[in-house]
Amino acid sequence: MSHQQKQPINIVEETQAPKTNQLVVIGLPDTGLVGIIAAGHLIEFLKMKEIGYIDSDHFPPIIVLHNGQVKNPFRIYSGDGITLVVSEVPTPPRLVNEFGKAVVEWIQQKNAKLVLTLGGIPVPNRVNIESPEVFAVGLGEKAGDIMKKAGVKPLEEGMMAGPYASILWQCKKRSVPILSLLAQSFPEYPDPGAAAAVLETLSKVIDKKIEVKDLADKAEEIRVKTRDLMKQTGRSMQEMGKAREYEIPPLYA
Amino acid sequence: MSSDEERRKPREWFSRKFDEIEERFDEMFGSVLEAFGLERPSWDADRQCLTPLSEVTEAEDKVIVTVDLPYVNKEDVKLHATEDTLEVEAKTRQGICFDKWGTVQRCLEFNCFRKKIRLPDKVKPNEAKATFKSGILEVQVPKRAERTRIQVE
Repeated sequence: MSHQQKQPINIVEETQAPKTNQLVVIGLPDTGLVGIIAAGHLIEFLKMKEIGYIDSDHFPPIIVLHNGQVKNPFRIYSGDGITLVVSEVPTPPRLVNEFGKAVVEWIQQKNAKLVLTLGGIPVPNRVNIESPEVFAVGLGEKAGDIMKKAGVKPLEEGMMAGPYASILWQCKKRSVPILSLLAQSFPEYPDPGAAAAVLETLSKVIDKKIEVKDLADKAEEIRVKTRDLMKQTGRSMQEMGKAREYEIPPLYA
Repeated sequence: MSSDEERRKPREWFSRKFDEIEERFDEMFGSVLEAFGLERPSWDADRQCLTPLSEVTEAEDKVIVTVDLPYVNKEDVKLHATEDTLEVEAKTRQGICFDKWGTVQRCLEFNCFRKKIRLPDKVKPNEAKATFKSGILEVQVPKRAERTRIQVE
């Protein structure tokens, strides 16, 4: 087991995560729960193994039970050349910056080739959009190449708020290549359709077909079972100023 | 009116009043829980109903309410409005089973959604329009307040 030096937030690998040349994918509760729904599907589809967790004395005292096992809600999985960071609870708003720092520092130590975050961008008329489009915010030459190859449009202007914004900023400061995928989604309702769109784009990035038919079949079940997480995430997003994602930045550059 | 009907009338009145009292307690209980920072559960085991997610937004002249209703067909949505509330009830097309959850070591099944939503402004319920698409119910209700144009000198 390896621990980072004791920090406010600690990444704990119970099994050593692969050291180099990995793709690190991050799926957190955010707009439309796109990240967590997509990450959950990826774990099943790629049969990923749980290898660690993220711990902090400042996190609220929450554990989750799965098949009678006690688990930390923030977990790390590995499989098929991918290391996946996922969470079943929203990141506490006052810890979002520390969380971003801890995760990106750890990713830097792992010498990851690219970080990929899976998320949604809120659109008010989502119910009328049959196939949500996926946009991206990319940093680094590698991210730019992948966007061209996958045919993903960049988000040119706007604001981002929340854990992905914190991670993007830390990656920029540390020159870690990152691609943040954002599918058009419901702001306040779980959106398996947007999660499927993001996974289809991920397929193009990793050159491996990720089957999303199961996700479509289970869409209504996911919408019912993630209601409570969506409510909590909505409150957390409000605290983090998520409404600002609808704003146009006032300056030009 | 037959004597049977005569006898039923006071019973029905009492039954309605008890339902109203139960609803008031429900609402008060909910606000007490919220005051302590606790969430009321998103399910009602007695009624076997789940509480759906909903969103209320205000435009200048109307209130727009959306409700997320997976597993529901349009014809099973029952919608009622007063001048300051919207009540949604919808039967699901199949039972929704929560397996081995909490202290329930079997399938806990729900077969409806139910929610009473307080509106931010007084509205005209008889002018409400509702649509249902991809499992999302959208209700638009014009606001009651009359507007007077003010001339800028």
